Amino acid sequence: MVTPVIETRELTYIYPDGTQALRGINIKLTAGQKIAVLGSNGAGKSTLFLHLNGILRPHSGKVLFRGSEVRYHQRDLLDLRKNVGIVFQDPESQLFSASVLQDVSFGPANLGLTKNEALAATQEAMRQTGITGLEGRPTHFLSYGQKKRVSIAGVLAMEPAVIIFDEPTACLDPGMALKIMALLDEQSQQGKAIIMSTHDVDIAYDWADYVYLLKDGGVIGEGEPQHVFLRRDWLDRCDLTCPTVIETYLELTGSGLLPINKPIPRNKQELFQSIRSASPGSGPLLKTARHG
Amino acid sequence: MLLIDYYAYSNKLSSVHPGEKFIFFVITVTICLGLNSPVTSLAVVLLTGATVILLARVPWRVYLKLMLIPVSFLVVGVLTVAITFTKGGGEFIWAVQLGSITAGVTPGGLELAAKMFLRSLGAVSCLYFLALTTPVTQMVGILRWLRIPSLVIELIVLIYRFIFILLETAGRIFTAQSSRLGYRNIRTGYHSFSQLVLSLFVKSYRQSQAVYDSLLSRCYDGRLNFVEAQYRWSWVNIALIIAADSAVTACWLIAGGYR
Repeated sequence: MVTPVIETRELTYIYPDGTQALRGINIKLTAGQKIAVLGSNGAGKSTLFLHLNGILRPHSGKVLFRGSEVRYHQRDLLDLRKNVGIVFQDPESQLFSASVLQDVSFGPANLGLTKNEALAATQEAMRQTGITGLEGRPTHFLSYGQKKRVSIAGVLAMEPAVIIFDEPTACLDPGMALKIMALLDEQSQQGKAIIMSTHDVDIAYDWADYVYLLKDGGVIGEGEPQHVFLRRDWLDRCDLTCPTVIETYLELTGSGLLPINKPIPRNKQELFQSIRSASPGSGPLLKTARHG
Repeated sequence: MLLIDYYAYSNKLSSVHPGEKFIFFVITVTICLGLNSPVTSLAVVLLTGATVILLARVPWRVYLKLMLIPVSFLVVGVLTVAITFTKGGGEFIWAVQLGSITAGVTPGGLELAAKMFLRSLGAVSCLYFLALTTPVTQMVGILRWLRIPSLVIELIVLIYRFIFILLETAGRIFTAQSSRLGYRNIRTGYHSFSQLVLSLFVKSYRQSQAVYDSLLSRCYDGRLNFVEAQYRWSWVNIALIIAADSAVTACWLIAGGYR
């Protein structure tokens, strides 16, 4: 079996005020995998993420990076943080400098690279996120979407093996959300392991190849999206809804318009395809939207 | 301040090497303060004004408005120098008798006041040149080059960034309050404002925690390391700076030097 890049075992965490934020969480992630973490507000998603690069230290349980347990001394932590990047939900809390270049180059400059190497890494990250033209602009003149991309570039520039995105599409317009998701796909194709938290079941179903459902600091369900999103009981407990693709598919099969012997469509395109092939002698009924 | 910040980024000289702008500032302000003559001061005011308006393309109305701020302070300050109080007589251009004391304007006092006014105005206009053409983010590079302690530089970087976060947050809270009639009269206004300050404090604290977490997750080791933008020195600009400042010095010589 492949060693997971990052893994947690029975992770528990109690906030200073006594709130138990995590209750024995087990998750694992291998290279190139795309994981979605879903759960209602306050389920513990962000707290879990802060454990994955050692910002928070668990009360019990452990975090394993490339198979070896993270011991919380400086060298281990630096190594972990080099390899696990977090893109925080609010870009404002990530941008510490008014200069885009200064902010993006902060990570690479901490890695002990030479000035030119750090600059090259910075420029590459800015190219990937499409913010090359913003170099001279101060962050307080940027739009929310631009700030978001700057904060992503700041993490990409460190070239981590694992990237954690805390609600990457929250507060973004649909067009920008699509661009960010395309960026996530691109990073995943480069072999990076990606974890994303989201409230958007449609995006999660379409994008992820493994899903964890969190509720009150515990994992109440996990598996492949086709499996997880069919569990109404799990979804209800997490205050989630069923993805539109599955709902439509179930409606169509339930009313006999689609045969039930086929596997559940993975995305909008697959659903439309099965509708097209099922309806006798018709061309495309619906014009497929850009995004699946 | 925000107006200056806006033009610092959007002016036509913003992409010029910060070092060139800094050198121009240092030489010009040294000439202005060192060669104490009204002609030099006036030449400096005109030179920096022309540079800001014609080269940096800051609208002249904005520039005049900004200049009016220090001018109003200067006028008040200089008035006290211009007016002389004396018990005896003397050569007065204009005077009033207050009992045994004569208060008035002497030719010497007036000359001194005018000199001081122009000299201060010259220095202020140099400072405006720097502030209007060089964004804080570029100033950080200059400060690093000047070997200013990194603690000071990091504080400047963080404080500058946080000013805008604070302003934006305060603005948002204010909007939220006013949309629920939080400022309909003085009483509710005081109450709302106190709430605003309180929540601003709490929010700033949480924000600083969040920023610290995000810095840690990018391997923060207690020092804010980052790469500075690269600029090219322009020999043409250096030559222009030398020419302009030589011209100012020439004005001083023609006007009589130290005499």
